[in-house]
Amino acid sequence: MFLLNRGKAIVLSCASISQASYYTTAKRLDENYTHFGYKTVKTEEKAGRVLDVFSSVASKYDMMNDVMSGGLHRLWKDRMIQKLNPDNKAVLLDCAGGTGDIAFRFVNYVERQHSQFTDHPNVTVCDINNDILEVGKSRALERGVSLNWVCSNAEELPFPDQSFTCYTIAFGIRNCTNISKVLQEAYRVLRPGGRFVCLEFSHVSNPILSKIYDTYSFQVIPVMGEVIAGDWNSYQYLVESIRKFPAADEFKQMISNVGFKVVAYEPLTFGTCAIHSGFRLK
Amino acid sequence: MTDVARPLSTVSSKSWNLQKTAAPPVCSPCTRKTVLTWIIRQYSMNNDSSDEQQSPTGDSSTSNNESNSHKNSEQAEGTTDQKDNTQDEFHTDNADDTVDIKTKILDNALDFVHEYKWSRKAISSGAEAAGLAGVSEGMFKGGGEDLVLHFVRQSNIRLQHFMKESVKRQDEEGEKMKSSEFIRKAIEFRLRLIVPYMDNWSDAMGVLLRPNVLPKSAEELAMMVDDIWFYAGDKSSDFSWYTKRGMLAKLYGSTQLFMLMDQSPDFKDTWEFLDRRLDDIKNIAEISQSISTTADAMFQAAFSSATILKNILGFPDRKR
Ligand SMILES: C[S@@+](CC[C@H](N)C(=O)[O-])C[C@H]1O[C@@H](n2cnc3c(N)ncnc32)[C@H](O)[C@@H]1O
Repeated sequence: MFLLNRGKAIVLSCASISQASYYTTAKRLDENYTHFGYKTVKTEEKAGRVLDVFSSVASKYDMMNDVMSGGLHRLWKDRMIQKLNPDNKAVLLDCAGGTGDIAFRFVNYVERQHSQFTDHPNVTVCDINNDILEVGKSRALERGVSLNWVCSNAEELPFPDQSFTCYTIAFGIRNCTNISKVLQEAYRVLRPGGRFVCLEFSHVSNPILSKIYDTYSFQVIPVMGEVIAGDWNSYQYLVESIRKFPAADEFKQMISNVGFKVVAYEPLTFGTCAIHSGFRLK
Repeated sequence: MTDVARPLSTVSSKSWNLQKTAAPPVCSPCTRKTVLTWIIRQYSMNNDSSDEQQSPTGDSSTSNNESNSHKNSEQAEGTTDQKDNTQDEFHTDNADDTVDIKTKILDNALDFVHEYKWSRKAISSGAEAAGLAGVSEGMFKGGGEDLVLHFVRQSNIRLQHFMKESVKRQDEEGEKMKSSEFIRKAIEFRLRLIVPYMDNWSDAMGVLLRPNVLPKSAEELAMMVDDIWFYAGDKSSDFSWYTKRGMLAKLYGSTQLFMLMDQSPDFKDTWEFLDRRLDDIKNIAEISQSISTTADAMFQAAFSSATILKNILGFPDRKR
């Protein structure tokens, strides 16, 4: 209680500062600058800054996820896999896969649905941050699941064209500097018939809810971040980056623009999150 | 799917109220066949009285009918497989190339119905056979429902081609078939398209009767029936379209039901049943007294027995 109160005061002041700087910096954005949360940084710097954020959070990240979303992220992730409904021949690339949470769910799903088939699901987890991949690797060892782990930027994937049938990215794409580049790469590495599925925070459409959610996400989440992960800056960044991410319809258009077909999105929990999906058909 | 010119395709969707018919006396897997016989007998009661089998007696439990029929119709929904229940999804894209690919996938999926029933698995296998990744199955929101509807549409299009050809041949040979004969040929042709899927056809009928699918399947049926009348060259103006639709829909529906349980070689009994029912159409005056002329009545005619069927079908094959 004491911690929360203290944190709240700090956050309140910081939140208003960052709100103000958002309006001024928005104007200054040009090709060489990109957003890092509400701070504007040089484009080359962003990848490095993002890396710092996740390095400092890596091992506590999953616990934070639980607290932040009230455990909802599990439901959202399960919904994402259920929507994807991978068959026993699915070949997955889980981009920005972090500790492999999506990948493990995918493996579980395939093994549960297709227990009669023997093929072991072929899954690759890719992330820009090696620390976080290490956490994932040790988890995979504990679980006795074998996955491929690749350290790479989602904007330049080290895989040949048409290598996968499923591409997932959960709470990762908003961290990327150039979203269109990520989408182009996703399209390139998917086989015809393959599916792109993205789970990401979204803007809340209901104005009242949106107000509550804003307050919650700017004030409560970073506090909890500090309490639990001991890293206030990182969580302030996470929250701000959600605000900067394109609205659901705009993002849907971006997905269509790189060639995906039957593009759709499904809002989750009053639109706090959305699952976007598209198919490569040619 | 491909839009083919239809002679009459406006159907008032408000009028698809299903008749709440009393459930048949028995609902249990072992007596399924008897019950089907019973339904068909109900059908025939209007016109003939002697040549059908006896109604099943003995194990009737009339008091449970009401609750049974409710429960069963709910259960019937789970028969094929779970589908994507997304309601609020925002979705665009019906460009021609996408439609073509979808059609190709579903066409291929039909080859897997025997193995996997009317399921998402059948669709993903079809996608692979079409050279696409299996997960493209996710494009079909209705899953197995989409596959069943696709089959119905394709079959109706094939029927249309068949009838068009027959009419052309008749014109060339200068010999005009009687309407009733033409109708018989058309219905037999259409029903024979189902034969390769017979093992899973009761499932498919269950799917077509689901509340969310019914508007589409009823529309398909109405259009098919209109097509048949159109190509049969019936010019009589004694009866409204609705009356005619009703007659044919009923004829088609009851013959299809009969076919489900027909064990005779090459469905010989079915075609005999069809011939008997065709007398209804020949003696059109007699029929017109038993069928009212509203759209409501038409769908009741076509689906009342189907409602019962649905209750029965809810039972046997639901162990997944
Ligand atoms: C919020 S975590 C999500 C992890 C995991 N997908 C999940 O849902 O639990 C975001 C991840 O994106 C990764 N990431 C950020 N920018 C990236 C980039 N440009 N390319 C690849 N991964 C990136 C981070 O290292 C981090 O592990």
